[in-house]
Amino acid sequence: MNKLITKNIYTLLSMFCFMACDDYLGGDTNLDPNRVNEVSLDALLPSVIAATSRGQYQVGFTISQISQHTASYFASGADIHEITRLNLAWTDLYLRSMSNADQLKLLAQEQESPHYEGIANVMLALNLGTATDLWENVPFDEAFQGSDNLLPNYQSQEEIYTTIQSLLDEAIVNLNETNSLFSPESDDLIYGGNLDQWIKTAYALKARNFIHLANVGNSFLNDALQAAENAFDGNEDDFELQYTDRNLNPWHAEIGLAIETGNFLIAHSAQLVNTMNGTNYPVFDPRLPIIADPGTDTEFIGMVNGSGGGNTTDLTIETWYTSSEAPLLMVTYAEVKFIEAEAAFLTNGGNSTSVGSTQQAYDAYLAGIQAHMEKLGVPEAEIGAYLSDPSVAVGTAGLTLELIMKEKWIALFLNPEAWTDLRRYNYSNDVYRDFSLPENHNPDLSGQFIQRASYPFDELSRNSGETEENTKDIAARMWRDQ
Amino acid sequence: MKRIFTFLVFGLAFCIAGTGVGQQRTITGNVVSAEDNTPLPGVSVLIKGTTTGTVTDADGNYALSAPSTGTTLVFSFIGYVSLEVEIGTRTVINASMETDITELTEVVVTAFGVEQEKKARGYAVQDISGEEIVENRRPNLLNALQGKVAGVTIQSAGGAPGAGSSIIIRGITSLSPGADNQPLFVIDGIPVSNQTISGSHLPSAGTNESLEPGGQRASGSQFSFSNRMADINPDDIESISILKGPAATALYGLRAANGAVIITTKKGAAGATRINFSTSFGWDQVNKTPEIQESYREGRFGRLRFRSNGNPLRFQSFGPRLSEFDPVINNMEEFFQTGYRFDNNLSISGGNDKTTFFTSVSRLDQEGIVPFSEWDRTSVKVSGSTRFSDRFSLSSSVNFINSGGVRSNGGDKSIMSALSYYSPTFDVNDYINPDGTQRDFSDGIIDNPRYLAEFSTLEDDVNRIIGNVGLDLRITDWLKVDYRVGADYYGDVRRRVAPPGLDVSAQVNGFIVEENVNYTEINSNLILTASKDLSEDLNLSLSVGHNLTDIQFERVNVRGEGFTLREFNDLSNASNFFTSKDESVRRIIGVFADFKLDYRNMLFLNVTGRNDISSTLPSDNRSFFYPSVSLSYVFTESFDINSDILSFGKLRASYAQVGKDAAPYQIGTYFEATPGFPFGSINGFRVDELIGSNDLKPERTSSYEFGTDLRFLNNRFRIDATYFIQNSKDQIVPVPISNATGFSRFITNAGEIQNKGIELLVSGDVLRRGDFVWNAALNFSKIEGEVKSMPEGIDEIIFQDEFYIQNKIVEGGKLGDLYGFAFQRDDEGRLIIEDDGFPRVNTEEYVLVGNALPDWQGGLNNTFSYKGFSLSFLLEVRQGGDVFDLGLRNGIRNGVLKETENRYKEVIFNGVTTDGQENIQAVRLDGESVYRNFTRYNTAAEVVLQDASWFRIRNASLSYDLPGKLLEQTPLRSARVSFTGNNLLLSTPYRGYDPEASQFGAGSNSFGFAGLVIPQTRSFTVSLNVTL
Repeated sequence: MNKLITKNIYTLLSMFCFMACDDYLGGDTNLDPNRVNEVSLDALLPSVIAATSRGQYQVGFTISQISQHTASYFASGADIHEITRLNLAWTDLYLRSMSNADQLKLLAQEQESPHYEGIANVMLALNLGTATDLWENVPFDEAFQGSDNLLPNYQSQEEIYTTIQSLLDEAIVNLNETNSLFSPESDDLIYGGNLDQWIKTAYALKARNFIHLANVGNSFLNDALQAAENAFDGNEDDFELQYTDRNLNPWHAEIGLAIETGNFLIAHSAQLVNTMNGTNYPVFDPRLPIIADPGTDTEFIGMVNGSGGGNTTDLTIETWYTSSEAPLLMVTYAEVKFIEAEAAFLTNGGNSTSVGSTQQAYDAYLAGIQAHMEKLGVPEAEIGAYLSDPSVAVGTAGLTLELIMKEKWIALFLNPEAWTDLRRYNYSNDVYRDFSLPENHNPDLSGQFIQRASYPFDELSRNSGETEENTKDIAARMWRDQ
Repeated sequence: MKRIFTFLVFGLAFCIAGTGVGQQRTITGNVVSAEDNTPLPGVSVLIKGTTTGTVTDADGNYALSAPSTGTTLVFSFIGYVSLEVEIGTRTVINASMETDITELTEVVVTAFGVEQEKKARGYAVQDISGEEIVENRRPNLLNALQGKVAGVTIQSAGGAPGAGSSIIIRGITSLSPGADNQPLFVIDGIPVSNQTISGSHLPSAGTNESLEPGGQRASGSQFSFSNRMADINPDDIESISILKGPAATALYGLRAANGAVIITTKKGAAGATRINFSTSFGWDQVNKTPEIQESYREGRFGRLRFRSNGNPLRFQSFGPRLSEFDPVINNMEEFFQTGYRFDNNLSISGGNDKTTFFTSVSRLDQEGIVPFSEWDRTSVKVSGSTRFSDRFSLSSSVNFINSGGVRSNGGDKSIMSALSYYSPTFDVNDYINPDGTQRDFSDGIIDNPRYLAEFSTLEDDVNRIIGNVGLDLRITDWLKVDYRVGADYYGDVRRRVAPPGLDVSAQVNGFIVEENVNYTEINSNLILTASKDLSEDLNLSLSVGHNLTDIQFERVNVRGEGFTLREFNDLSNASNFFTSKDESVRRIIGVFADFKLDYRNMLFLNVTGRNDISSTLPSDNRSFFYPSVSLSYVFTESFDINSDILSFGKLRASYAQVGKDAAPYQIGTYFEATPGFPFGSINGFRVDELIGSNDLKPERTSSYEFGTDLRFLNNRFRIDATYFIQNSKDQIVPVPISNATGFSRFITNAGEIQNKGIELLVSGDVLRRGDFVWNAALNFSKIEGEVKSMPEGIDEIIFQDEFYIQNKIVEGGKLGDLYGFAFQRDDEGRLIIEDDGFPRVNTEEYVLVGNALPDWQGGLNNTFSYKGFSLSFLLEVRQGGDVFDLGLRNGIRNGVLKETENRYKEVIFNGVTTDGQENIQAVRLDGESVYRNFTRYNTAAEVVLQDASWFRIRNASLSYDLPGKLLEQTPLRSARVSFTGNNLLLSTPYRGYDPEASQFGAGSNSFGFAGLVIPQTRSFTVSLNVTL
C-alpha cells in the first residue's frame, strides 16, 4: 500500500509536466520488469535441455506410428501415412531448442566458456539431425538471426550432414579445452557437468549421423565405427533426461496419465507386439510385459496400424516408458552398440540377405540387447534365457542384418531414430520381417511407404518461398536414403 | 423515452377526442411563445390530415379557411413542441407554444465534460437514456445497450452470472489478434477501465485448451470473466453517448481510437430531497439447448461395451436401441436450473442553489443457471458539487464497488465439454457418491458436469474505487478553466480450485491457482476554454488542454499442484508450485486544441489537433500529432422549407486521424523465465519468442464520415444516416515469422485494414390517437472490413486456431473470415464419392468456409403507451455470421446429438464417383462409418460450421406508472411497476445453444466460436420503482 501511495504521489507531481518529461515517459519506463535483457549460461542451458527432450517426445509421438512402434486410436494422420507436418515439433526444434542453443553458444563464446559452447554444439547437432531426418532440406546457416533475416534459406541435406559433423567436431574440441571461464554443474540436467560424458555423446551422435549415410558411401561406415568406439561405454552414459515429480516426463503425463482419464491416443502397434510375443519370431521377449500393459488380459495383442483398435495392450503408468520414474531416452549405449554391429556387418561385405559376419558385429549385437534389457530392468535370468535362445544366439555365422535391425528397432522404442533406419532400408521385409503398410493406407501413396514429413503449416505461410522450393512428394526418398 | 413521455403529456393535454363536423369556415388566431408571451412569426398552421395551411405573420397572426372535414389544427415551429388543437366550433384559436427542450437544448457531452449542442456535431453519436438502460434490468451495463445502437456489436460471453461482454464499434480495426479493439469508457469526464482480464488458471499438464495468440494457454475460454464495466451500477447512469468514429474522439486521445462510450451519471438537483428506491426480482432459464437423440443407449458398435474384467466400458452413445425400460434424459436441459436475480437500489439526491448531492447504494445478488454459480455486486456512490461563487465550483464523486462470485467452468475439460459428451441414458444430476467422490457413468473418462459445477470452480472478488474531483473556474465571461483528476483502482483476487481425480486435474493430482490482479489508472485533464461571440452571426470557441494518463497493472499468479489431502483447497495443500508475475506501466501525455466556429447557428466547423507522447514507443517516435476537422450544416435554417414536412435537416462531414501506441514492452528482445521451470530445483531462462522492432511508430487510423439528420412532420419522424470509411494502417502487429529465425513473432508496423459501413436510425411516433402513442425506433448497420495489405512476406495471420476451423485473415480477405476443411467436390460442386461409397473431407487444405461477422444487423424497438401503461419490445436481427460450435463434434462423435439418430440407415450419398459417374452405391450410416469418422464426416466445415443468423425478441417490457391522482394521497412522487423479459424468442437455423456467446471471452478478438461456454439465458424480471 505504501508503494502504491508513493507511486501515486509521483504521478500527481508529474501530472503538470508537458513536453519535457523524459524521465516520466522514457528511461526505464518501457523496460519490461518481468523479463531481462541478459542472462547467464547456467540459466540458458537447462532450458535448452528440457526443450530438446520435449522435442524428442513430440517427434517420437508422431513418428513412432510410422515406425510401427505404436498405432493410433484415431487411425488417421501419420498412422496411415497421411501428410504429416509435425507443426509442434518444428517449434520445439527451432524456436525452443536450437534458438536457445544458439544463444548459449554465442554467450559462451562471449564469456570464454568453451565447455558451454561445446554442449551448445552437441545440442544443435542433435536437434538439427532430427530436423533433417524429418524434412530433409532445412534451414541452419541463415537461421536464428531474428529480424535481420526473416526468410532463412534452406540447405540441402548433404550440407546439413556436413554441418552436423562439424558442430560435433567443434564440440569435442571445446569440451576438451582446459580453460573455461564457466563450466556447467547442476544446471546440466543430463550429466551434472560431467564433460567426458558430453564428449561421448558427441561421438555417439557422430556415429549416428555417419551410419545415416551408409547408402551414400561406404566410407561413412568406417567413420561410424570409429566414432562408436569413442562413444558411450555403458548404460550409465546414456543421453537421457530424468524428470521429476514436478516436471513430468511427457510420455508419462501425456500418454500414461492421459489414459487414466480416458484420453486414448496411441497404443502398441501389432508389428511391435507380434515381433516380441512369439508371433513373428519364435521367442517371447521378456521386455514386452515391461513396456506393454495388457490390463486384465493375459494375451498381448497390439493394434494393427490404421485399424484404430483391436488391441489389449496400452502404454500406461505401469509401463516402463510412460511410468513416472522413466527417463526420456535420446541417445543410448544400446543404440551405439547396434550402430557398431550394423557398420561391422556391412563393412564385412554383408547385405540385407547375407548370413554370417564378424565377431565384432556379433558381440556388439548381443551387447546392444543386453544393454537395453538391463536398462528396462529385465531380471538377469531372463536376459540370459533370451540371449541364449537359438533364435537370438545365432552365433557369428548365423548373424543377419535382420536380427541386428530388429533388436535395434526394439531398443529404439518410441525414439524417432527408428524411422531413419527403416527408410535407409526402404522398409525392406528382408530387414524388417512382416513390416507392412497400415490398413486404410493413404490412397495418394498408391501403396508406397511414406518417406518424409511435410513442412509445417506455419512455415508454409511464413517462409513460403523456401518451403515451395524444397517441398517434395511424401513418397520421395531423401538424398541420404537413396 | 424522454420524447415519448413528452408526447404523452401533450397528447393528454391537448388531444381531446372530438367528432364534431363543421361547415367551411375561417379560423383566425395569434400564436405566442409560452416562455415569454411574445408573438411567434413563421409558425406553420396546418389542418391535420390535409395540405391546407398557412404561416403566422410578423405579429404571430394567422387566418385560414378550414374545410368542414378538418377537426384539428397543428401548430409547428422549429425549436418548439408542435401543438395539436381541436377546432370544435371555435373560429378563433390562439396558441401558446412550448419550447422543445428535447431539441433546442439537446446537448451532448463530448470531451472531458465539454457540452456541445447536438446540432453542431459533425459526426455520428448515438445517445441512450438512463431509463432505457435500466428498463430491462440487465445486470451488465453493456448488455442493456444490445440491439439499440447502430454500428455497434455487443456480444456477451454467455449466460453465466457476471459473464463479460465485448463491445466493438464499427468493426475490428486491428490485424493483431490480441489487440484491444474496444472503445474507451469515460465516466463523468474521466476514463475508466473496461478490461477483461483472463489470466491463467490451467494446470501444467492435462489441458488441451487452445493456445492464445502468442502461444500461451490462457483461460479466456474457461471462465467468462467480467468486463470491468460490469461493476457499474446501471441505476446510477443518467445517460450514455456513444461516439462512434475517431472524429468524435480526437480529443480523448489514442485510447479512444476505437470510439468512446461517454457515461454521465445522475446528479442531484436543487430542490426537495428525492429518494428513489427500486427493487427487482428476476429469474433466468437456459435459452436454447441442442436437440439430442432419444433412441439409443450408451455403447459402441450398436452394443454395450465391457472391459475385459467385466466392468462396463461406457463413453459413447452408439449402443443398442433403447428399450421401454431405459430412461432418456435430456441432460443438456436437465443440467441447468432456474437462476435468480435480486437487485435493490436506493438513491438519495437533492441540494440547494449552491450545493447538490447524489448518493446511492445498490446490491445485486445473482445465482446462475449452472448450480453453484453466482455473482454479486455492491455499489456505493457519493457525488456532489458546490458552487463557491459565481466563478468557481467544485464537484467530486466516489464510487466503491465490490463484485465477484463463483464462476462455472467452460472450455476444454469443463462442465460444457463433459455435457456435450454425456450419454442420455444417465442422469447428469446423479453425481456424487456417499463418500463425496464423483459418480459418473463413464468411469473417469469424462467428468460429471454437475460435480464439476460444485467442485471445479473459480471464485473472484473485486474491490474497486472510482473517484474524481473537478474544479471549474470562470475567469471572465468568455474564459474558463476546467480541471479534473480521477482514479480508477481495482484489486481482483481469484482462486481456481480443481480437486484431484477430475479430467483436468488428474495429471497433476489436483491444483489450485491464486491470482491477484491490481490495476490503477490515473487521469488528469486540464482544459482552458475561450468562447466569444464575434458578431451576432459568428461564434468562436477555442479550447486547449493537457491530459495525462498513467496506467499501472500488476498480476501475481501462484499455482500449486499435487494435493496431499483430497478436499483441502488451500495452497498449503499443494506440493509443487509455479509462480508467474506480470507488471506493466503505460503513460501517455497529450496536449490538444479544439476550435469551434458557429455561423448563424446553421454552419458549424470544428477543427481539432492533438499531440500524444506515449511511453510505449521508441523515444524517437514517441511523440505524434493527429488532426480532425468536421463540418455540419443545418440546411433547413437557410432555406424556407415547410417545416410540416421537413422540420429539420442537417448534413455533416468529417475527416479525422488518430494515432495509436503499442502495448508496453514491445520493443527489442528479452529473455523470459522458462515456463514450467524450475526443473526440479534448477531455474531456467529462455529467449522470448517475440522480437520488437526498434523503429516502431504509432499506428494511424484515418476516417471519413458523411451523414445526415432529417426530421419530418414537425419532428415526429427522424432519420439519421451515416456512411463511414476508415483505414487503419501501419498497424502494430506481431507478425508471425518463421520459427527458424529464432522467434515466432516480429512486432512491427505493417498492413492496413479498411472498414466501411452505413448506419441508419429511423424513429418516430407511428401512431398517435388520444392517449395512445406508438413509437418505433429502427436501427440498422452494415459494416465490412477488408484487409488491404498484409505485412510483407506474410500470407496470413491466424486470430484463432481451433484446428477444424481457423479464424484468419489474408490479403484481400475480410475480417472474421473462417477457414476449414471441405468435402471433396468436382468442378460442378458435386460431392465426390470414393469407392467405399462415402464422401471425403480434404483435411490437407484450409479453404474459406464462412465469415464470423454478420452481413448486417438491425434492431426495432417499439413502445406503445397509453395513459400510465407502456409496453415496449425490441426485435433484433443479425443476418449472417457463422459460428463453429466447439461442442458439436463431441456430440456427434459420441452419438449424443439428434443428427446422429439417422444411424443404421442405408443411404446413397448424392454425388459422383471418382470417375464422374453418378453415385449409386448404398452405404450404411453408423458411428464408425460416419459420425466418428474423421475423413468422411465430422471434420467437414459443412458439418461443423453453422449459420448463426438470428431473429430474436431481445426484450419486452410492460410497465405501469401509477397515476398522479392516486399518488397525491401518498408521500410518493412517482411509482412504477414493470415486468420485463429478455430473449423471449429466438429463431435461428443454428442447432446448438444460443449462438450469441464468445467462447474466448469478452477481451478476445476471436469471433465465430461458441458451444463450450455457459449458454445464454431467457430471463424475466418484476420490478418496482418508487420516488419520494
